[in-house]
Amino acid sequence: MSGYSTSSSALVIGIEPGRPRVGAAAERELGSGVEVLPEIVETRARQRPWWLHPAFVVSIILTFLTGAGALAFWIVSMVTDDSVKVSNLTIGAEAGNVTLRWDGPDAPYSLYQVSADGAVSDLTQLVRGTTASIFSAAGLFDDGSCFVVRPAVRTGEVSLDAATLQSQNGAGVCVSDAR
Amino acid sequence: MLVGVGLGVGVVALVLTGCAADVEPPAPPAGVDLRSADPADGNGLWLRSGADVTAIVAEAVRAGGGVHVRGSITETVQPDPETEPEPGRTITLDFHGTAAAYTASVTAGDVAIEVVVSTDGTRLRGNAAFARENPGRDAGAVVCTTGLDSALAEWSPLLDPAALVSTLLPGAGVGATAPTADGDTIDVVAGEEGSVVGVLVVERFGAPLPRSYVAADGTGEAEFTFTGWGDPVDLEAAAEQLPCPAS
Repeated sequence: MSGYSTSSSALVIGIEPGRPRVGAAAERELGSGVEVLPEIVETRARQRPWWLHPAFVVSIILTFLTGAGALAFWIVSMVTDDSVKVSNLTIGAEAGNVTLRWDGPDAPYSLYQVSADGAVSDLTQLVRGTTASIFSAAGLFDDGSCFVVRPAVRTGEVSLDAATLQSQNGAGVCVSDAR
Repeated sequence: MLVGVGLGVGVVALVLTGCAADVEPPAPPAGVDLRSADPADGNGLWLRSGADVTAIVAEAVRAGGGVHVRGSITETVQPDPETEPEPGRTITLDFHGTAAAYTASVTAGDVAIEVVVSTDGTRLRGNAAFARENPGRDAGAVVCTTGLDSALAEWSPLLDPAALVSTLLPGAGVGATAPTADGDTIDVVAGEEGSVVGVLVVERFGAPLPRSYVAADGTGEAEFTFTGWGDPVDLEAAAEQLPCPAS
């Protein structure tokens, strides 16, 4: 043990003290010198267009939702508008034609002819305000016909049934009532 | 993502408005343009055309009650192509009442009849020519029948105003002309475009009851007047003129 560390200079470990390098041969580099992995290039952060900005998208969505909600509310309030109501529907003869008169606000109304066999025809084109004159000799109705007047916003089935008419704010009258 | 948002908005709108599948809305009457028509102009007969006009007028006649129809139909004969056409036989009609109860006198050529039809039955008197054509009838004798006399069948449609009007306005070439500014009649024209055969003048306001009819073409000419719509007819007085023979 005593000859190991001090007596011989042939056995040298480390060239310099504190540097445990074996041998003094040519230093080998770590790695083969071939690039295996791709170079990592720093990419520039892409500028987002203004219309894809999250704040803008959210804002547009909210705008559409608000508009749709307002539209829906408007339609619902129109459909369920109880202020337009047909009342006091009367049938009479004027200038040889059948004239219907009714009470109601200034609103569009629709007029239907229901014949005795249940067939319905749309005579809305003859409505003028809250009156309608129906040509007597154009084959638009016969003695068994009835007429239904209701607000034009109603789109349900045309019926002379009293409950249906009431639920549609409409009214009905028959040609036979004029006699 | 925007598409999804749009769909979502649409669905929300549908739900909110409650747009369930509605019933099919009724359609306006076919073949009639009501938008530009003004009911103050009259009864609207001119909105229709063809057989519809004939049917509407005939229906009005049927519902119009009693009427006094006078008229004649004269045929034009041309025995020789060299000669001028000349009037041939004539049918004349004098009719009071409705199709079911009436008094009428009709002549056709040299045949002449007088007839009263009521709910009691038929009284018919024909002249000598009528007796010749109808074996079993005596000239000048009144024949009383319960129900309708079979000898009247050959005189239809003269003895039914509605059928007469339908006969005068045949086919699809019938049209009613729109009324002019004043005047209270509508012309119902029979015949194809450019070759008008007959004109039936009907009321412009109310039921389109005929007033007169004039027609002429190569085969003859006809004219009828319709008056006294709805007037009562004194069938009893007419029946007294044709007393039934004592049995």
